[in-house]
Amino acid sequence: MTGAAWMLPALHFVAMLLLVTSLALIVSPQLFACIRFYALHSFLLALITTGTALYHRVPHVLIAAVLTLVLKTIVIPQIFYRMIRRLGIRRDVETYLNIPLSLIFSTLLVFISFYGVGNLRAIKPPLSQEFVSIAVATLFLGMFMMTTRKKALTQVLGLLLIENGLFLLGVTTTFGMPLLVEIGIFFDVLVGAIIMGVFVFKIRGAFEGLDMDQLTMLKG
Amino acid sequence: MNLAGSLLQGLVLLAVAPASGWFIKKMKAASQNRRGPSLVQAYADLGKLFRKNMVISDQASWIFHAMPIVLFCSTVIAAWMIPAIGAEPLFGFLGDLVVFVYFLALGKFFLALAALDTGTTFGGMGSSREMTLGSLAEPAFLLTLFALAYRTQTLSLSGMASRLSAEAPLDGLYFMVPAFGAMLIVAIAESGRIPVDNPSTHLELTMIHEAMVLEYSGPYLALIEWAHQIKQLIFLTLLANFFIPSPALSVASPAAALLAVLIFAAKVLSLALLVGWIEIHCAKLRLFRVPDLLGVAYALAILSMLGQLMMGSWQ
Repeated sequence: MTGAAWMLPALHFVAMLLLVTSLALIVSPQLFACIRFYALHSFLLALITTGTALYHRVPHVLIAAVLTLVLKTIVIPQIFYRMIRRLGIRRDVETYLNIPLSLIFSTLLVFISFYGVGNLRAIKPPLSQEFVSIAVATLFLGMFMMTTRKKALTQVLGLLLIENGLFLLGVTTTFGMPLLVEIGIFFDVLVGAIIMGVFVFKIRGAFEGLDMDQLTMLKG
Repeated sequence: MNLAGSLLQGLVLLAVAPASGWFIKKMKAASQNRRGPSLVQAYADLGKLFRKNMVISDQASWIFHAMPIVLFCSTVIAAWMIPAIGAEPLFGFLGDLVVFVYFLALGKFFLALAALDTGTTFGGMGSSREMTLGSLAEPAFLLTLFALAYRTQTLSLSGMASRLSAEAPLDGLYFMVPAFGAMLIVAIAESGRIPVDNPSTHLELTMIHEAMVLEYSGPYLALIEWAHQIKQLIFLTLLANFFIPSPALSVASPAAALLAVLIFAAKVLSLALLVGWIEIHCAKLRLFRVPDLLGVAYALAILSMLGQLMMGSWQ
């Protein structure tokens, strides 16, 4: 039950682009570029989902692909744009690590996830194994982004990157969860993004800034 | 016949090197509503320099005199090691891609050394910058070549080119695209084009290559400039022959040779268009931001390598 022979190499290519986009999201120095890269990341994710659905003839995954396309490439970036406009924050991203160093760390993380997952023979995904390692790499990169960023808004982007990685893992190993659960997750992500937005506003109201360093002052 | 074809190919490479630089210059001029120099000008400049007298500092040691010759010869040897139009490369027997990369590095080493030799401030500044960037670009370049060599299972440059062009285009896309990105960045950095270095500036604070050759004049300067143009053509040729798929070319008969030359010209010109397009649309990066760009090249090269190890290895 598999599709045309040209589809797997094409999926490999898109998966590679996904990885490159995750790296771009981590190193891009501007907030707007970050959000655009997140939208691109989600678009590529939707492409992979569509490819999986067509390759293995599982039509219900297509609905998840359409939801990804609408929610993550259009709605959530728009929410972010509006948030930035209303907050009037500075447009550049502040990190603890400079760009070459974070590139080295992220390639190391990709390396670790590739080799770590390569030995996991327990997972026998229907689509070939590399998507598992790419999903795990995306997860790691999202965590890396969350830990190295100073501002709350880019940390939220890291969280969304993790979510994308989980979604990729779910789709390529199990063809996604049952549709009802999938829709529930999408709703969660959307509501999560909105709540994060409110949260970011509250943080700014309480601390006059989004710098997460200042939260350490709360410690006794 | 075979040797004659190889020799001819090598001489053509040397002859068209100024033209490839001229093409980018002309394109840039067109984007700024200028007419730009004519093709003859590219050669007339070199000819003029060859006829002029030299002014040489009395503080200069033998390194100052040796550098233009070492630079030119090492660049020409490197140019004759790469697969270009279709004939067997003349110095293909000399060695593999590591030797090729270090022939280029030898020229760069002497360039930096000669810039320090006369003891001017700009020379020292230029060579320290060149070495900083070179030490970052070289691993990225080697890693990209190794990634491609891993796929083709050969270290010889012409073997790599022929096997890469025989690859099914879609199957190889996932590692070719990152490798292309990495090599393009390295090519721009090594040939001193705009996001990294501005070839047409003489502003002290920004120049890299120009700062190193400030003390040179006459035939020496002509050799250095020519070597620089050949180096740029080397990178364009490598990019063209590795990443643009084409049918197998030969120079066995005049008709086949003509076709090969036309295809080669089209490939190199399209890449020159890309480099020129980047040059038109980018501002020069601050020197301290250039390592970021080269870091991106390094990461892309690693991804290209890792991708090959991973994709389709577990079915």
